[in-house]
Amino acid sequence: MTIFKNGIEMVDAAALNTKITSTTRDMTAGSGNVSYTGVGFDPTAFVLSALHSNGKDRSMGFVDSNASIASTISYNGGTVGGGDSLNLVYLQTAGGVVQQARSPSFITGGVTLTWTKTGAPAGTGYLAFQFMR
Amino acid sequence: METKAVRIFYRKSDNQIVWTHTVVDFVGRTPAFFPTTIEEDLAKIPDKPKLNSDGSIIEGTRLGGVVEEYDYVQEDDSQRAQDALDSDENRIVNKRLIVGRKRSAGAR
Repeated sequence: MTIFKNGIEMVDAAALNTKITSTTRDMTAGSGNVSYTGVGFDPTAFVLSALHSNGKDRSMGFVDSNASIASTISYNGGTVGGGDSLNLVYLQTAGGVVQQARSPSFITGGVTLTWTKTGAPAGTGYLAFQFMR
Repeated sequence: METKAVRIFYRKSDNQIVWTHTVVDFVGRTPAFFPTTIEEDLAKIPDKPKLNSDGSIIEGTRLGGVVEEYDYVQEDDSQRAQDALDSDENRIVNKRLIVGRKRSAGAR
């Protein structure tokens, strides 16, 4: 129910929530969906920071309640990719060697990402999430 | 401590892994559900090869045939899920088979 006070829409503060957590992506893992659950509430937006274990390649992605993406990327050891609206995560260590995550969708208590592996990436992708409602 | 469950879809003709769906639970519970049905996961499996700019085939989409059949295995705890992800194609067929499924577009 939407509550108005003096003509202003009031927000139920109890409905707001945030959660930070982290996990890893095995860079050798094959293509597929990964559902991240156990957030504790149903998120409506999130931020995902990804860092390759080489310490060079990384991405920072933002997803809004429409599942739209905005991300910034550093790949191939320092090449800048900016304003990406397709790849939420893009960990490319060399040309044609990449783990990338796209197509976020919100599920009960979390989100699902579609990962694609190209070439033969190695190492670990470190992922840090901030979920919001 | 996170836990995982995983569905691994493989092509029956050669046991090639073509798609996985992993559920990661951040609070250490055995994931109680998959947010998608088998049919929805199957719809994600590419039916045609996708090529890189150099002409090589993208990993996980090496599907060149007109008709492909898929089965899947599903594991519901972390170690077995990891074992399944680490396994080679030959080991997959020895794992617990929950449901047999089919087929890509064009199949009858």
